[in-house]
Amino acid sequence: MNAAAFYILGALVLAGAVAAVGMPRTREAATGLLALTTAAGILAMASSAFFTGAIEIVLSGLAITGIALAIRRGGYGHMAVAPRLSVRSTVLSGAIAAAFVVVLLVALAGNGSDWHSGGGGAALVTLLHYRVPFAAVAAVVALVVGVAGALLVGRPGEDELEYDRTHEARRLREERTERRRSDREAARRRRRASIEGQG
Amino acid sequence: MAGPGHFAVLSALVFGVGLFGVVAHTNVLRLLTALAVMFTAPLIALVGFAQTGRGGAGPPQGDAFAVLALVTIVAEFAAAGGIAVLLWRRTAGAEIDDPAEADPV
Repeated sequence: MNAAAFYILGALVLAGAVAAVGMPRTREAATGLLALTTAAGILAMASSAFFTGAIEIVLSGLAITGIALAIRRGGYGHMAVAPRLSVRSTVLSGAIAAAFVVVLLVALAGNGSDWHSGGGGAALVTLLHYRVPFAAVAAVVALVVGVAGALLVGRPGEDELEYDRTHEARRLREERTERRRSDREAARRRRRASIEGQG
Repeated sequence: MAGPGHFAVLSALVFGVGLFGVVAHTNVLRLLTALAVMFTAPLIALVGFAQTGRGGAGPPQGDAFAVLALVTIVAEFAAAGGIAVLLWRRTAGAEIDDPAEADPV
């Protein structure tokens, strides 16, 4: 892969990662995450991994959009209100993350250029082959189980629906009572004013 | 020419940024976002390592790994989203500092 293209895409990937983590609002962070996965997908495509890149862009986009829609339409908008990071937690987290990155970079530097060259050996791609579709089936099963589990765990239960109904009925009742009280009060004031006017 | 080393360094940096978010944030959605950033890092490394096998008869092993990892990430992301919604409904809060102390609705 061309070094210039790598550096440009790498900068985009890093910018997306920083935005996903550092943006103050959750919506902006989700947009940053979308930008990160798109840039990483394009990076994969530019490295000739077209299938991986396309899957990364499509699947990640669907997952992020799906969760964002579920939160917005399900009335869980307040969930996205995140407190601002304190200076203390920023410094502590930054130190921990920086230490990890240093460990990783030292390990990589120690490795030199002695990278494994993927020449012969077992071809994992055969696991995705149509004749031996074990890994492909496992991937599809993992995806279906994950989404089904999310729907099962996330959907409101019967008791919660009943609670919501009772809560709403109580709210409406209290609202009605309050309105009647204020109407009575207004009528009393009018009556008093008219009596005083006659007197 | 960008080699696997370049991809590995980029992957380490992205992992570090994600780790920062995981340690710093307490809101469950922000935590999920940071986790997704962390999970993207090995994908970048795998794609980079897969490059070394290309050009000849080398099979794209890294790609196969990356696809499987990606599917697992999306499944995990969906399940974690469901758990986050459940946490919100049960505790009326989205902070993971100490959900046991939150007032149940």
